[in-house]
Amino acid sequence: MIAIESVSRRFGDTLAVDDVSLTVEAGSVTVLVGTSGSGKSTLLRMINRLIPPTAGTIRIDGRDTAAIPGEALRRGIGYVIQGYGLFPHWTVARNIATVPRLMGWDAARIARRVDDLLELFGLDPALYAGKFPHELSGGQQQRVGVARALAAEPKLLLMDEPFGALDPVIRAKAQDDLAALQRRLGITVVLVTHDMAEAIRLGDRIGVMDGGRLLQYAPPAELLSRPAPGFAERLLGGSDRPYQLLSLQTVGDVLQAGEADAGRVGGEGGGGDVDPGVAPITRHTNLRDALAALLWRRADSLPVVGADGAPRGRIALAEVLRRAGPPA
Amino acid sequence: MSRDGRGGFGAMAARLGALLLLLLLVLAPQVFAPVLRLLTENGAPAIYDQGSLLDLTLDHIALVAGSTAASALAAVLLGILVTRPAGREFLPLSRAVVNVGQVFPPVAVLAIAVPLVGFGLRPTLIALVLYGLLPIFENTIAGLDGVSPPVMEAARGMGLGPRQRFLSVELPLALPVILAGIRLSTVINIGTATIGSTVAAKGLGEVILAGLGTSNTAFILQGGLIVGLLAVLVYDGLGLIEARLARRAGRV
Ligand SMILES: Nc1ncnc2c1ncn2[C@@H]1O[C@H](COP(=O)(O)OP(=O)(O)O)[C@@H](O)[C@H]1O
Ligand SMILES: [Mg+2]
Repeated sequence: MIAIESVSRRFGDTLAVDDVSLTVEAGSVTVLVGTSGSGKSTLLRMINRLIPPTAGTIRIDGRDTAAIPGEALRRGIGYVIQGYGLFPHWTVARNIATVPRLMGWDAARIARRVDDLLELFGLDPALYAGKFPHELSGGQQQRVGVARALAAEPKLLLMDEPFGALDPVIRAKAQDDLAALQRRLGITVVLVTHDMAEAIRLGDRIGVMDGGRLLQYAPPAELLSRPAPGFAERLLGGSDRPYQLLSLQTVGDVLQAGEADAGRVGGEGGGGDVDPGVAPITRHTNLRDALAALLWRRADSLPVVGADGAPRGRIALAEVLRRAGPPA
Repeated sequence: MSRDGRGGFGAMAARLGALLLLLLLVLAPQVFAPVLRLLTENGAPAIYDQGSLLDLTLDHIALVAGSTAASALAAVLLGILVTRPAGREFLPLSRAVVNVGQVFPPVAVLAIAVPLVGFGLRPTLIALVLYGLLPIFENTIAGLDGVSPPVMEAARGMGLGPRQRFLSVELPLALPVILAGIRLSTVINIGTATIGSTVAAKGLGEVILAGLGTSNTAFILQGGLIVGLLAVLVYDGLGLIEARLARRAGRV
């Protein structure tokens, strides 16, 4: 758990971070979002003391970070930045081995860890361990950057716009991969972005920053339905809000008993009226995707199936639409 | 070598040709007597005969190597110093001093140094060391400042200490640029070192001076050619080393 208590940071006349307090739960993903210059990176970099705060304290698992020598603190915290900052004169394997080497792991353990990480990130060790960063694609560099940050098995991972340099398709995949990885490892992630959609997609909690202040700190659903008036509301703005709100809810929330009046479960019975390209709807399908399926099939309701393909009930368009706005 | 592209073979041939010509000029100058004789008058000697060309060439190389090594040591250390946070404030002053070394003509340095330290090697070394500082100093700064900020940020974020950051990240990445400065300085001083002969330092300037003194164009040509070929070959050779290092540093 990270406890940030009344933390401020001043650079000359600029107050980059202004009296921010927030708590990050262990094993959760916290996203700091805001426009450029709002102080997100400064706040993030105070967590591993790349920048010491000018006021306030930051505790990690109860320990004041000011009491830990900076380099030791940073070796225990994963850090990924935009542009990745891979060492261009070192191979992929050597890059990933950076922190384990600093921590004095023996060579065999380092080699095993590097291979495991490369496999975890879908990079064949035989092919990629010996390559140099400039020989990799942007997406591969990004993965090596995350692998390097995780090499010494930190429990906390700090990420500053880690997907900023990726094109949209690869970015979406990288976001999904990160979410899966985080759940699998159970690590705590604090991620900085200026992209609200990314924040909503990844965050268990979202901190909205402006002018160095933390304006709102809430789970995404709450942020979408009750944004703090003013900046946070403007930042959310736009026409996507209903869809984003739907994307946070699943079919399980609105499941009804009974049979759908249109469409049938793929592969069952006649089944000819179901688009083969459309995945069957389950309790875990998010409402945004369910809405898309309902609209695409021009149906008022569709069947919901279990993992085994057996019917579990139905989802109604009217019910989905009721969920697309803030609670009345 | 892929960098040479299609010029690879041609470049290698030119390199070998220049090396062969240099070796002949130094070791077997008589080979050129029939041609060089056309440049002499009144039966003057066509081949330099006042000393061993090999000895003078080796002296010349030693002079340049010694002075460039001293320039490099001083300029690289100074460049490192003024790129550290604590040394930044000395950058303008250091730059001014190094610039004076470059702007002040080496001949003038000789004129001032001889009364102080006498004739021979010493004033020449002083002039050459001063003259060679600027390219190395400026390239050291450019190389160190040119290391990409995300790379340095990542190094700090991973928990590398100041010494580790400098020795294992900053310096290796700056090395190709620093070497380019040393290469430039070396080549400039291969030519400049000829003035040492005016104050009785041993070197290839003697051959050229002897030619000037006796209006013997053949001598001037021999001295000039040997100096020129040395410069070209050293420039080329150091360039190859540098390209290899740059590739290793992932700069290509
Ligand atoms: N090292 C620094 N020196 C001086 N000012 C800084 C420094 N780092 C950040 N700032 C200033 O602090 C403010 C917040 O910056 P930053 O935290 O990088 O914002 P963000 O990451 O949200 O874009 C900006 O006004 C920026 O110019
Ligand atoms: Mg930032």
